[in-house]
Amino acid sequence: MAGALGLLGGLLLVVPVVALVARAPWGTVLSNLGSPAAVQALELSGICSTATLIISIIFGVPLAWVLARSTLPGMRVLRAAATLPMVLPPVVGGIALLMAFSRYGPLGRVLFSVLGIQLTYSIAGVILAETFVAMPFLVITVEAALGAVSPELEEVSATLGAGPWRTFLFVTLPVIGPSFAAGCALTWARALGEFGATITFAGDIAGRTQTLPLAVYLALQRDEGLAVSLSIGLLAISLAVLIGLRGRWLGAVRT
Amino acid sequence: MNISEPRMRRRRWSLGAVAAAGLLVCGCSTVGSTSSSPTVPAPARGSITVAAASSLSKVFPALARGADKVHHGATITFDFGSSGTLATSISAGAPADVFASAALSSMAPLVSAGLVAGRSIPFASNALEIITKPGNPLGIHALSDLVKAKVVALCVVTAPCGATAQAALSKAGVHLPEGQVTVAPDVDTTAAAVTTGDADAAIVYVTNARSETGHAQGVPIPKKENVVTTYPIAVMAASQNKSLAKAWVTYVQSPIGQAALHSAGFSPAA
Repeated sequence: MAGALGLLGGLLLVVPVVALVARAPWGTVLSNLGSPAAVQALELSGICSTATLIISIIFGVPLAWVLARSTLPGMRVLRAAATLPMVLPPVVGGIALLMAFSRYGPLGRVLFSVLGIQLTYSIAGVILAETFVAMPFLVITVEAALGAVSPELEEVSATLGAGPWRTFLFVTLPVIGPSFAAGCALTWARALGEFGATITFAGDIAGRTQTLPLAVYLALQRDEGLAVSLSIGLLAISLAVLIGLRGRWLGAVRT
Repeated sequence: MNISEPRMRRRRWSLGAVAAAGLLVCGCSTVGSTSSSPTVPAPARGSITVAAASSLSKVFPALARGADKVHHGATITFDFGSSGTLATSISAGAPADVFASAALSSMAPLVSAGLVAGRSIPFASNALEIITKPGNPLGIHALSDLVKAKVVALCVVTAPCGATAQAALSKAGVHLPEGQVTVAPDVDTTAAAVTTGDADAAIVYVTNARSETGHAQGVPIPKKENVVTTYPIAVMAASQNKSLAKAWVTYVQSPIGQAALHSAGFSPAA
């Protein structure tokens, strides 16, 4: 019985992807992926996802450190707040970002009047939306990994005279290395695939905010072959990420 | 990968539930001394799904509330979205008893595929209008002024409002650079880019401009640059409740239906 249910569950997850590959117009997939609109979307997606990863590392790793090591009260609340964007429906995330950062929101208003910056409908807006939904992945993964590192390692390093930065870079980071790399891959992939928050906050401007998932959505309205070709492209990238992870993400979560 | 896609909006109106608003609709069309139920045939029963263009998302439910006076117990479910997308999903088998499209070109493939019962009938038409932020801060008074806007929202070209907007821009000789245009899947989302988002202007229908008076400023487009689109309505051949479907089509063409469309900003079928 369990075997039968398990098999059905597996089929449910596998069949749609197999159908996508089987029904793709393989004769035109490469030319579609090479079309100017597709290349533009691909480049934009690549730039934004990478920028998102860098920002997530700069701000997310310290946050993970605070969550893992701090003894101050309120860590549970902070952890919940940091995890929330991960479970929030992406379009809701987009609306929340609009409420804060549009020209009429509290933060957006200041940015616009003081610095003349408008985040909506801009590449920066795409990066902001992707960071909002993807950074929690890095935070959670790194926090779990840090939690598994024995604090004695760091204490010994401090005893031997290394400052906190040296300890982090040369002792802690190598130990959590695999989990950190897995977290980075997941964060990058999540940012690449983001749709709801991006289209709500940054709109759909070719060359500026039309990332690959948005291009797929638009293509679906008029050219199914193009939409499927772009989907194959995204599928290939996702598979590459999974193969690169080689089960390490599961390992990090289990630790 | 986590791609969540916005769904077409669905609204379910039980005709037996709301009565009060119906008075408003019926009230504005008491033309002289014609009989109390002149335009709707004998009460129809059951339920139907009406697939309709986004631009009808306010006037059709209002009409449904008015029809409650006669068709107690009948249920009409509305499926609003871009006409192009709706036509594609109906061709692919999506259930719809009636299809009201914002362009003849969206209905045509269904007619040639034999999916329409009888004829498709034009019941209204709509023209384009520019909307800007309230107070029109950028001073946009014509299509040519749109180049002043930082971000202009347009419908995707597969939606009638997108195709007609492109045609109007060509007529006016205006070319908007790609980096200035954000594309939305249907006219309501396009309008929302201005009313709730940060887009400076959008090209939508006259009916959208009319219904957003508090949240956006309408800028009319002169006739020589404007493009009018005709709305056809038809009963679908696969409908399981053709009598209620036909009743709805008749009702929309009736004086009550036409008056409601007129006060929403639609023009008679061209």
